[in-house]
Amino acid sequence: MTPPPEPPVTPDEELPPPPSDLPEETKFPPIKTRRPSAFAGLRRALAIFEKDAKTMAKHGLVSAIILLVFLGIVFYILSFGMEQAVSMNLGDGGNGDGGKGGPGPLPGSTDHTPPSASATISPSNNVVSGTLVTLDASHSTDNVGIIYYVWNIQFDQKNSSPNALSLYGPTVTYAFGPIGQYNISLTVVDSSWNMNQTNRHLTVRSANPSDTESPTLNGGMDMNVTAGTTVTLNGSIATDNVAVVNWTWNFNDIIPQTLYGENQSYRFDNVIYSNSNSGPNSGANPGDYYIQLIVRDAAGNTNSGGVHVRVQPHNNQNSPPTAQGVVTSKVNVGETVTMDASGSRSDNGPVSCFWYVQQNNTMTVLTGQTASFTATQQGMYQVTLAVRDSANNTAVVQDLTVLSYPAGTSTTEIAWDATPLGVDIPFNVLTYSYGVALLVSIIYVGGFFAKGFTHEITKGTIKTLFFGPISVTNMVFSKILYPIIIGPLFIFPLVFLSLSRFNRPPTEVLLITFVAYAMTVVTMVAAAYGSCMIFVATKRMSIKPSVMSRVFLYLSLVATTTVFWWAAYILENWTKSTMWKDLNNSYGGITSLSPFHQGGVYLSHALLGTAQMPDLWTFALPAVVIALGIVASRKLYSDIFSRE
Amino acid sequence: MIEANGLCKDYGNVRALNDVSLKVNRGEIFGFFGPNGAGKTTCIKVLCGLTKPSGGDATVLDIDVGKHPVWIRDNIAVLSEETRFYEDMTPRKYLNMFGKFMLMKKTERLKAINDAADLADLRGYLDKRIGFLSQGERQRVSLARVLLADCPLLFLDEPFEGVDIIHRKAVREHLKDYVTKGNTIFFTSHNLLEAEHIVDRFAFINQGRLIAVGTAQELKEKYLAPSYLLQVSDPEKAREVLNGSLPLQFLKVVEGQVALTLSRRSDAPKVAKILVESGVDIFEMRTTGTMEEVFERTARGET
Repeated sequence: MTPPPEPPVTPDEELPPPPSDLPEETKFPPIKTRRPSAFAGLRRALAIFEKDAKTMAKHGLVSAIILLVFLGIVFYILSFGMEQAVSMNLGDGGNGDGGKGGPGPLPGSTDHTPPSASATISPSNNVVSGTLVTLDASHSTDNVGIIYYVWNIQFDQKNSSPNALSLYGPTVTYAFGPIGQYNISLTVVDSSWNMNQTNRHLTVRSANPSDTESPTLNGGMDMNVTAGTTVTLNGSIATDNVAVVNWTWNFNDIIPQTLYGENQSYRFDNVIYSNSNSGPNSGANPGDYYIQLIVRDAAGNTNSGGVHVRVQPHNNQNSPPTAQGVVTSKVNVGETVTMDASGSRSDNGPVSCFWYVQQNNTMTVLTGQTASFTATQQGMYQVTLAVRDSANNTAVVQDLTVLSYPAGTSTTEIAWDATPLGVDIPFNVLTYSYGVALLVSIIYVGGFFAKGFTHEITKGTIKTLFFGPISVTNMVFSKILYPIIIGPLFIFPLVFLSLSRFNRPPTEVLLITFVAYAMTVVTMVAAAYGSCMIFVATKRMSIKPSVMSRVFLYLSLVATTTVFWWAAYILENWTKSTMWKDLNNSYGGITSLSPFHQGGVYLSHALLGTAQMPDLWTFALPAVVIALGIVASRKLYSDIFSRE
Repeated sequence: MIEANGLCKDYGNVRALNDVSLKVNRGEIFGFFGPNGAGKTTCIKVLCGLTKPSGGDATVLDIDVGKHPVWIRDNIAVLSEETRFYEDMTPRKYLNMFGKFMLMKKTERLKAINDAADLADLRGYLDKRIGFLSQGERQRVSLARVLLADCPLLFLDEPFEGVDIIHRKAVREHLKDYVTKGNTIFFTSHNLLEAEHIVDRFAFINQGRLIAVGTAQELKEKYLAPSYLLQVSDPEKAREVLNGSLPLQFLKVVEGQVALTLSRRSDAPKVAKILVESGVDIFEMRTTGTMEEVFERTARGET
């Protein structure tokens, strides 16, 4: 194929030569043109931004301050609600409470149906003292399967032993000696750590109603011994009108000890310095033991008393070691938990470390500065570390817990995803702060941005500016400076305020703030640009454009599910009713359409590894709207958008 | 200064510029005229690099329009026909903002603002909100904006619209003075009578085509019939002598002067010869006809 021949070029006969009387160009100095520097565009964008900022300062400063204070108060209240929610949940899971409540529902799991607890007491719930009672939970049911049965027994009489007791298993037997009322609660836990609880009462009556006299206890002799001494505990200090049949010795060594029988011997090895007030022998001097003796006669009458044992360190070297233990706090079943006490210190030579690992009623003792065990079961392991120096001074750290999650569960999300709310929406510190940042920027920045940009286009100033050295890029860039520069003035303080209650490490707070901020800026620019495109597009229609663009912005705001979840969560915690959550669940399908919310979900998924995936299709609607807006405005304002 | 070769610009099916070639010399005021929708503004847009030509090429200040539009815009000032303002700014702040866009230093900027304000006579309302200004005052603010930058090339689209007579004269003189320093002005207006006072060369455009380019004298001679006004010692005698000696279309004595229109332009030297030979003294012989007439003829497509 050959190209068609070009038409012959005809010389422009009508173009005359320049008149000779005109000044010659050569008599002027040559023109030096300025070449735009690399930073010229930026400087011009800043000049536009400066102009906008001044206008805003003039017209919006007072209202901005009022809004800042108002939102500060709102977020402070919201953060109070969040804190309630978070601490409630962490309290159940993190600190542990003797296995009563269990670690709490497992974040990210799909099973949210709690088991149903069923407890039967046989032979009956009114027995004579000393009867062997069977507690049976085998009729409890769950849709997946129950992994734990925990019986918590409390006795209403103080002078008895034990006055609190935990037993584990679907069927347990126990001989109830002391007469009185018992509260028995059964907690069943399924593999997703959903829980259910049921309560029973047990009455233990006297085996011999004619014998109402309790045994009496004579004061025992207090003892002073050196660490390592074996002490004999003599039960003959108790007497009864009939006979004492049961002797129970309770005291706290590194872990609580219970001995049964009239005469018992025990070797006291530790001069205990507790690291906390709740530790063993708290409130007493180091090395002081109070051995409680509870005695019972055949009828079931009880009494209690005790003896003091003071244990001295070798050579009276009273200088406590410092115990510091680090354990893997979260593992999956089958993984190894490592424990490290290398931070422990002592003035008296090398230390021996003892790790008491307890799960339910199983206790394992491991030794060594570092030790490890395999988490074979899911649930909570409680670890107590004792560090003993050569003089037998001992320091104890009690509150080390290991949470063992089912294989395949992400353990990294747990620190963040502290309040798994509802079925399908992760609600955690991140989505919360994302919501805060979003709200702030929509209120402050969105309005300014949309107004500023549409003003440039619709008022025609953009045309005038473009005749100067301003390009579309300068203009758009200057508008993007709104969320980038003005945003932090409002976003950062409010996010910090909102996070202040959660005691997160500073690095984490910064990370949350910056991620929320960056995500917000991107979302904001897209939303505001889309809204001003709609403004332009609807300008030629008979709809009032300002109304349309505002509607777009604020619909997005209202549709932000986060706001509803906050409200539901706070109301639920304050009113102790699930009505709010149920209500929210009923309408959650609609509110989760918000792309803003899905942005938060995506963040949680990408950064924290939460299981919930964002519904990416929800981004389609705003994307279509923005695309239509851009197409429409390019058609209507082709001259503006084709300039570069 | 400006060189365009075969510029074309299409908006959809409409050809707004069709094969426009022109050359603007340094140090002249180049007037660009045409009826509404003839392509004047489109031509300015193309030359300013605000829109890309569909065909042809052009250099402005020896910079290629298609390749470096921002570079060109950095070195020119444009007064567009549609100027909008930030209504709540004062002229001083408005000018200051543009000074910043032109990346002027602060001292330089303040001096330029004062000079431009003097020139456009904004002194009375330099610190009044633009929203309160009249149409003419606004136009003078625009003018001040253009005069602010020391650009070697100005594009002025209807610069005198709404400006009163006193200020027109001052601005006109400034513009004339401006080009004598080696600067150049590309000028459009509807008011040809006024333009004739300052424009060095005219270009007429119609339906996107450049029809005529030249000085007022050249265009008049080319497009208007050869009409002359003679101031002579004896008008009646002159009329008698001329009548019949040459093919004439028109001959009349008006207010002591002889007005005549020749049938052939080449006869013009003969007029003087005949009169001198008849003993009539010629004090002055002027070509008559205005640029408006030229404009009308070109707009009608006549030659």
